[in-house]
Amino acid sequence: MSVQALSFIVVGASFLLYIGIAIWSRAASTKDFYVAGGGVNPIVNGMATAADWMSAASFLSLAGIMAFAGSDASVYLMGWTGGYVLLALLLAPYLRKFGRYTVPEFIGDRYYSNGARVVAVICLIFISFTYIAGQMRGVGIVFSRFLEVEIDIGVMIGMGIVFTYAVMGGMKGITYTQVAQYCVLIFAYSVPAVFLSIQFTGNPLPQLGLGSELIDGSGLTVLEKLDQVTLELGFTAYTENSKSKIDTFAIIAALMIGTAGLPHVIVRFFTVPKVSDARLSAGFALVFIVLMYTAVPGVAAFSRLNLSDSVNETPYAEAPEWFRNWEGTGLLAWQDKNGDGVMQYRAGSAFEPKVPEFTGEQGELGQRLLSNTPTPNANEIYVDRDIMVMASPEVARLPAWVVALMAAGAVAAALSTAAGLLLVISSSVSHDLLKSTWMPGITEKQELLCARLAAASAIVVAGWFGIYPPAFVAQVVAFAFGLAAASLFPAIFLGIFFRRINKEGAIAGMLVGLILTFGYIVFFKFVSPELDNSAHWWFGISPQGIGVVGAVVNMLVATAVSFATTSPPAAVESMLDQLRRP
Amino acid sequence: MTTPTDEKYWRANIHVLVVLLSIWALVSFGGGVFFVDTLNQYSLGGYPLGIWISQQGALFVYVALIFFYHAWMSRIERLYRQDAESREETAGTDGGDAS
Repeated sequence: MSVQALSFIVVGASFLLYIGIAIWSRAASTKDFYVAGGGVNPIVNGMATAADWMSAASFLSLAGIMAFAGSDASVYLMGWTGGYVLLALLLAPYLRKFGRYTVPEFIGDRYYSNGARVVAVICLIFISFTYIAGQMRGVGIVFSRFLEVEIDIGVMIGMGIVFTYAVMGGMKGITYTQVAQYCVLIFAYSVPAVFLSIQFTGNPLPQLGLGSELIDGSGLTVLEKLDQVTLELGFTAYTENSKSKIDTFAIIAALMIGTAGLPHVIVRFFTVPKVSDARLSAGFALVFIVLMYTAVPGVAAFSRLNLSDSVNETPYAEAPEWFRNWEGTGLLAWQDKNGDGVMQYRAGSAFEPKVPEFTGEQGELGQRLLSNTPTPNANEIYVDRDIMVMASPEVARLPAWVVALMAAGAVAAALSTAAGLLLVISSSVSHDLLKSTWMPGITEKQELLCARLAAASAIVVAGWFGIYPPAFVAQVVAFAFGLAAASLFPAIFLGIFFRRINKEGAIAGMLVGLILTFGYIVFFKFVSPELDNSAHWWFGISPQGIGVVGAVVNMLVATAVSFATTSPPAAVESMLDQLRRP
Repeated sequence: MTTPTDEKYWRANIHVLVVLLSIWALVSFGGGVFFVDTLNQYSLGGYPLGIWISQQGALFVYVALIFFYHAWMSRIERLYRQDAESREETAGTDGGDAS
């Protein structure tokens, strides 16, 4: 059977499973819709959180980024997991004890202010939509490569599936489909990772394989070999760090604080029965995440080695089949600059502009011709880093069902995250804006209907972003983490641990943190991108790491303003007493 | 109103956070960022140690920290819940104010 037919069967079967779960777990009340009835087992919730968290970016891009950036990419591994320690210790148990449905609800009640509530909703919606755009795009790419349907149709199929289970089942439906999606994605990621590790080192665990000796008889470990290969081809050594210490520190801290402040992750801890379950559940979530993340450096290293091995100095006529498959998608390209018919892979971009522009004609060897202007360096290859993971089963010459599984895994990663984000958007609209702020008189039935309508409209908007992706998607990802770090995290953290912080302080802090971070990123990414280098950054901190500065400034402003104004009212005092009871 | 038990519980809670977050910060920013180059002179299972910490070791430490936190807090909560209950009982027999 062909790879394409198998992919249709495997992806289709996974969709049937998700829809089946959705029918079985319909939401009957707002409590079901917002927090899955509040009775989810902590291990189940941990698994759902892991699927919620691991997006198309984790599944497709992380190993790719690492393969090309080497050690510099360690910031993502630490930043995206260390944040769970902050979440488990500083936020999750207290928010669970507070016992409501959404993040803006905590901020609105703790700061006795609908103004604070609305500011929180705005932050939440901005963060969540930024994130969703990337997910829908991921679904589209997978469909176009493996199922050979148009990206637009792929996006619409994805929207249809999420629509079914998110609108019908709310948090309840999402939770149980996320458990299924976690199983699909971890299996899909591990199988090629294990086989690659065996092929290169004979050790089945990619976590250990990376430090093992290669079986090619060179006597070098994988990392030593990589350093040698990258240096030979003119790149910086794979294990060398090119970022400054201060910037590395700021990026890790911003990613960690941002992770802990992401509303779709926080809200998962509202679904467990007890406070102690929230702690336990965060632990299990991290176990399930680390299971995949610790395999990432291995996958990255093996695929980078493989790329140089099988492509560099290979005549195009003998190029491996996967090379031509991916060339067909436009994510891989070769321009025969020196006319020798052999592919040279070196440092630097092969041509200008960096992204290939195909003329639609083919060269004598069958390669797709480009209209880009060649650069003077010797590199002839363009590789989109997102293909490193998706191509890994083909690179490792694994059977077709593994390729099909990979497609299902990538779709699962994208859909599970998209659904979690859609839910927090819909609940913040129906619960925080309508029920708590504008239309307090609506009944539970009406609120549930509004939640479903809000979810449905959010899916349509997300799909729109998927079909017509804003050109700046890649740049705005820094936004999501930076803004969560600079706005939501400090407001919740101060609200729990410091009694004296009042309405005025919290709102001032959130706004200052938000505007500062937003302005810094917009300035360096859009207004003056030519100044985006360490000579012009504040304290040498890049826009990616600015969220930590925003968080600190937020806390300072909130504290100063609070002490200059009146203490919070007695009702808030007693709410805080409640949070501090054993 | 907070009782003395509540206050002791809260202080114990803060103590746990300070201890565990110090380890978290030391591993992440010490091992993973500022001392990476020094640590890379040593090697662990074929990895330079600094790289191993930032790509694998720190992640395992985070998992351990959260489970340890869960166990520690469960103990503290059991202790202070009993404490709170026995106080309420004493207050009840004395006929005093149980707040």
